[in-house]
Amino acid sequence: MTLLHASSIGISFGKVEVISDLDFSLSSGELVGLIGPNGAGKTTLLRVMAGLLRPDRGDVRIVGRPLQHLGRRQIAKSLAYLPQGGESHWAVTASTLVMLGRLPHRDPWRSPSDTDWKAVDQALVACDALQFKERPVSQLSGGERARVFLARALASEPRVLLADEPVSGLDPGHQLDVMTKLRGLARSGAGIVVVMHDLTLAARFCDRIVVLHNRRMAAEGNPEDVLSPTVLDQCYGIRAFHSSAGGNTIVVPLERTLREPGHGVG
Amino acid sequence: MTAVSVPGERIQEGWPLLYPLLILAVIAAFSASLLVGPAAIGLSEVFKALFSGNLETTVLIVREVRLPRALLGLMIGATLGLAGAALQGFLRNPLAEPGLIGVSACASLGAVLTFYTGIAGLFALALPIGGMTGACIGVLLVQALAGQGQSQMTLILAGIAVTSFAAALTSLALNLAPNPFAALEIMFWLMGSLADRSFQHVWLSAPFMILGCLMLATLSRPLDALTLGEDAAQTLGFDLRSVRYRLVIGTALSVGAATSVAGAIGFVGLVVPHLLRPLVGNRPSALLPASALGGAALTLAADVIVRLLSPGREIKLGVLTALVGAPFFLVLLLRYRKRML
Repeated sequence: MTLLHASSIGISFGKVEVISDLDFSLSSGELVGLIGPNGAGKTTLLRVMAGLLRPDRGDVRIVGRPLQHLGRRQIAKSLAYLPQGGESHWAVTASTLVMLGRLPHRDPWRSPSDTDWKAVDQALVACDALQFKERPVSQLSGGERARVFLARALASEPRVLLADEPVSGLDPGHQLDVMTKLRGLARSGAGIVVVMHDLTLAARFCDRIVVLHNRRMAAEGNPEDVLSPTVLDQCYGIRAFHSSAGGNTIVVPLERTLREPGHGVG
Repeated sequence: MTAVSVPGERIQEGWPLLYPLLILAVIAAFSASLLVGPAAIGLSEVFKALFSGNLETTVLIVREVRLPRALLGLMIGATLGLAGAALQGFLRNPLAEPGLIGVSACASLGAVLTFYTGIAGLFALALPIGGMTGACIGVLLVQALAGQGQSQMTLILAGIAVTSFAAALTSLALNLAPNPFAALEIMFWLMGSLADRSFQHVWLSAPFMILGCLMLATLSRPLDALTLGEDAAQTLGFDLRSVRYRLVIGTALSVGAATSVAGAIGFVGLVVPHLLRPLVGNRPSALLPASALGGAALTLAADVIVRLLSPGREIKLGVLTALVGAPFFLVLLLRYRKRML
């Protein structure tokens, strides 16, 4: 089932076109990796799909309904967005922060129900963060914070999760934990888009990889097909060592090619 | 060793005794405000005066002089505390205060203009009406300058621009004051005080303060969501444009009305939320009611202190809050500096 469909998306910031005529679709049960060089428009696309930016052209539908016809609260009930680098402006405890993920589902004037507390704890357990739920987020390490922010997104029990670089800054162990968690969530029926830079990790966990480059979708498909030497050269301007082990594609960037990055594919 | 949490266990955020203590403090300060004054009136007499139908001097003093003063202290303090907490939550800045968006400066200007033009002398309510008109014009200007967006930066910049302009015009009015007495009157009024206010002032300002405070009270959830930043708050289901609109209008009504009847009383809206924030577990929503109670207690207490300090020639309430507030600011600065090291 298609959970999210973006068709013919075009958006400009002033005179600079950031995304042009892009189609993207996300199905239930799918974990999609969104990759591309810096400035390719990954975050912009994610923000358009989250309803944070209105595209100049095209439209986004969630479960068949156009985003602009839905209220913010309605969108929030089925879609969660995890911004890059997670910020917490006040030193609230981890469980208070995760409880914010329940806001779309809560009665405006009621205190949290048993269902809310259960969802919060499940999300904390899922992200291996229950042990520090009483600690202020300001006192947590980078890895611990990343897990708490992911738990916040999970606590809203979204059908669509859009996560902007949720594993950057994490050690390999916690990168695996987070990706495993996201894949598990996809397997239980959600549709997930993850922006990431680690190509091998993307290949290992994502069902599909979408490469953004020069305002458009440069490639899309199975990880092993998409992460080809041609695509890496054209999009990133790099030559990489390719291998495969246990059915997983391994990509190790080796050197810059002569091509000037950012102007490869038209 | 860290204690292992049990799933499903509810956490008590903040300090459990905070609300009972704040309520007690408000009651104590309110009673003190009824008890303290040039005329020595005992506790039992105050109570008798409040509830009896006589028209003796004691009754008149308590009912017509001290009661409106105490009620205004209660409402204005609560308004300043609540508006300060709401603004700090919205701007996610512990140094924000209600004056930041230009409301206080414009209310002051409006009131000063009624002095300057002599309208203030014509009828008693001219001054607060002028103040509120100023606040309304100010907020419309700030909204127009800040544009239709939801950004906090444009709001701050528009607030600063309007505040500076209103302050300049206020100085101009002082500069061109028709006579030294008018200038003195303006100066005294600008210092902020609750002395010599009547029930007319209460009836005029109360509806606006209550309405404004109710609007600010609806912001508790979006302010919580804003802890995570603007993008996350929107994707949690909140329309930030409507949030900003409610914040600006709510502050204009409540703080505008407060400033129109009492002049500028600084630092309450800055200090109270700041002091109470750690005690409510840093949650913006929990800080709103706590800060309203704390603001009321502090303003009432300060108003009692000015009466005790120099009974003959009262120090203005705004002067006292600034005298206590400025060193507090220094302490804040030192604490931040220590944290930076």
